[in-house]
Amino acid sequence: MERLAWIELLDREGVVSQRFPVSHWPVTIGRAYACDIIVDDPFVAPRHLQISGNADDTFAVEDLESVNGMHINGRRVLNRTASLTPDDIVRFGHSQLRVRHSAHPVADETPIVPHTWDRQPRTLLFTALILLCLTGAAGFLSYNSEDSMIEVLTMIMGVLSVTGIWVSGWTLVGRVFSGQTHFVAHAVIGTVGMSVFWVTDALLNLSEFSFNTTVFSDRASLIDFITLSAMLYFHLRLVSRLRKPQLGMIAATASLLLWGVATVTSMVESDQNLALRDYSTSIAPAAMLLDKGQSIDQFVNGADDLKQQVQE
Amino acid sequence: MRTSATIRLLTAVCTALLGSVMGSVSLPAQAALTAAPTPGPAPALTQPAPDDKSGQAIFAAVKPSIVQIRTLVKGSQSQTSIGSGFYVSADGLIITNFHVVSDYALEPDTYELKFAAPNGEAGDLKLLAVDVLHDLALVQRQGSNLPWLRFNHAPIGKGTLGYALGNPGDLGLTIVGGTYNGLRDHSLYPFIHFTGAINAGMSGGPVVTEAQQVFGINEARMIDDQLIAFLVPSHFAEELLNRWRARPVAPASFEKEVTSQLNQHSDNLLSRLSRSPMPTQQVGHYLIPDQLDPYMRCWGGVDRDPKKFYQTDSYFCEGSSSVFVDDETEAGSAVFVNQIIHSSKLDPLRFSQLLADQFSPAQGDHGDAKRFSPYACQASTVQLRGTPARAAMCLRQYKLFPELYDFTLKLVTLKEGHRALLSQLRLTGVKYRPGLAFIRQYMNAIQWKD
Repeated sequence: MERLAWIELLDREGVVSQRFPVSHWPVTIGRAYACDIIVDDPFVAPRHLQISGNADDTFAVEDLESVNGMHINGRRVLNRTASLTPDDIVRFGHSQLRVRHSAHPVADETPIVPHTWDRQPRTLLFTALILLCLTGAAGFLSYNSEDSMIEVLTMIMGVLSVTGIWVSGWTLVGRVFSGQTHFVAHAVIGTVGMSVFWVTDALLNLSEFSFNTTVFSDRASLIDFITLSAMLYFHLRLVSRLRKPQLGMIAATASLLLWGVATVTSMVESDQNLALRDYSTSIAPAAMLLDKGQSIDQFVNGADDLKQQVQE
Repeated sequence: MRTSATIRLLTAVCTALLGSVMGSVSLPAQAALTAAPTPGPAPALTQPAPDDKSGQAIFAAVKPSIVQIRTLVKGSQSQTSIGSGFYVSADGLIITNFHVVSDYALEPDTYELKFAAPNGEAGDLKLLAVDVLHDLALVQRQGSNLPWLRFNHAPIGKGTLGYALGNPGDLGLTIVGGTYNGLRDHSLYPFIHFTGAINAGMSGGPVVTEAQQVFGINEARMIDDQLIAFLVPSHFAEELLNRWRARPVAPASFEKEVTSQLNQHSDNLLSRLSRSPMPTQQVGHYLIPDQLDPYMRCWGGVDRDPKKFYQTDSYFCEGSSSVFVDDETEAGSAVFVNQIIHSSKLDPLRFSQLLADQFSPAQGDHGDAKRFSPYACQASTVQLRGTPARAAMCLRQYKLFPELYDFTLKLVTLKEGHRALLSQLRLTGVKYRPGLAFIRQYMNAIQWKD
């Protein structure tokens, strides 16, 4: 039996819900069992539409004297009959359909492309190694007694576990929402992000010491905010099909929220602990000292500012 | 961790000293009761009085002159603290400790002062004068022909027997025999060192000779030691009494009176400590501040833990100088610790990280918003004499006494990659300008010597 065409019933989103092959014209559509295609929609007449093929690749649709009539592409058809192209959508009752020839052309297949980073486990090896080195270096710096070995190891394990939990979290989210884990890609983002946190922290600390100023480190939270936004952006790109500006907005909002929570927490902390003494404790070898600093008198006179602060 | 053990030990001595003043005697009755070691019906008889017979005679003679002094929440019958006092005139003038009446002196709207005499009399007390520096107060009750005690003017020497009276832990009037041991060393103001079992609640009670004359007033005890107690020498009480008699006008506000006496205390302390140039001792390549006044004492300690990749030599100076303000606050003290940290095992990077850890502020207890402002801090590179250093200074203000501040200074030298001086100074309850001037002197005293 030759297939002349397909009649496709569409849901509200315009996605095909049912597809019927057509082997003869005309085709009747309605609720009645005498119809070729039965539609269980109370707003459809027992015999609602009749569709037949024209000679010129279009189709003719006829309203079989229903009460609710028919709409084509959202416009009510006042005539009993109309002609349809393969892209026209006919609404009748609360249902809708379109008609397509068997020879209707379709797009080429979309190749399944793994994410660029997924193809590069070596990249992950490299970034993970960097993170490991940075953490190890930080641990080594605070290794100053045999007893502190355990603290150093705890610190390194802590950083690695946080990174691990972060990456597996995103992998899981990706699996649930987009069906793709992208483990390597998420791991690359996680390790790079963590490394950036370490490096900026170390550099800002060093800047306090070398230049004897906190202007850079006072903006540490801004830099952390940017880093976190970037991480969120790349993670979200992997797990969702939203467009780039939307992803950017979501990433920025989320990290702004996190940043706000962190700020409020530290404010509450300092509010509750009046004995908190907060100053720059950064110290590096004297060779890193680029600013001569203050004289004793300048330093002591700086207390006048402190006095102002405590009197407020 | 031998460094911190040494430091802790030294600080522990220091805390014991501070604690001795704090833990003196005006404790809530409940706490004192549970802490009382021998809650017997006749505690006077259990005390090791050297001569029972004369002890009984003295007790009988002095007992009518002793009163219990209670601080109550206004309008209630609940006492917040109890102490003792004794008549010094027939018309009801009573000497006691300032710390017995300090709650009332600083918050007269919240508290009231009452007395209870051994004969069952009770009533209101009026606060007339205070001497915060020597922890004394003069109060008065209504009455006449009261049996008052005389002050001792005869010379007394170490070994003289004395009898302390008071109400330890609200257990009833007690007499305690003990020994006069001269004036205590290392105290800014003179206090008598008395060996006897003085306990919380006896504060403000008299200590009499066998001739029943007052030579001291119970003030404090060492918490972790046995029978070491401190008395206010009676001549300060006599001076307070004479000042009152010369000008019998009570200050309109005791808060202001206490404030001005605390300011005076700050001046006394810092004028004793200020030396130009400051005395120093040489430790390795560094000159560091040394004992600044005989009232101060200095200790040293070394930490050679083989597990640590560095060694620490510590030099610690302090002295008993702070005065009681209220249960939580003492004012007017100076403590400094200098540590030489050196290492042959650590590379300069790790050594500087070690210094950074030591340079961090100690996060102790939470501040008290009622008494102190939050800390404000600054840190900077500073050029000391002969060496660059990182220095951090923090400051907070006393809310009730706005002229007084706590200062902390911490600095670490950056001269060498394997050895550094870590110096810490803490001033509490001092005036701003003199405190700052002292810090300047202190920083100028630290010096690198080739």
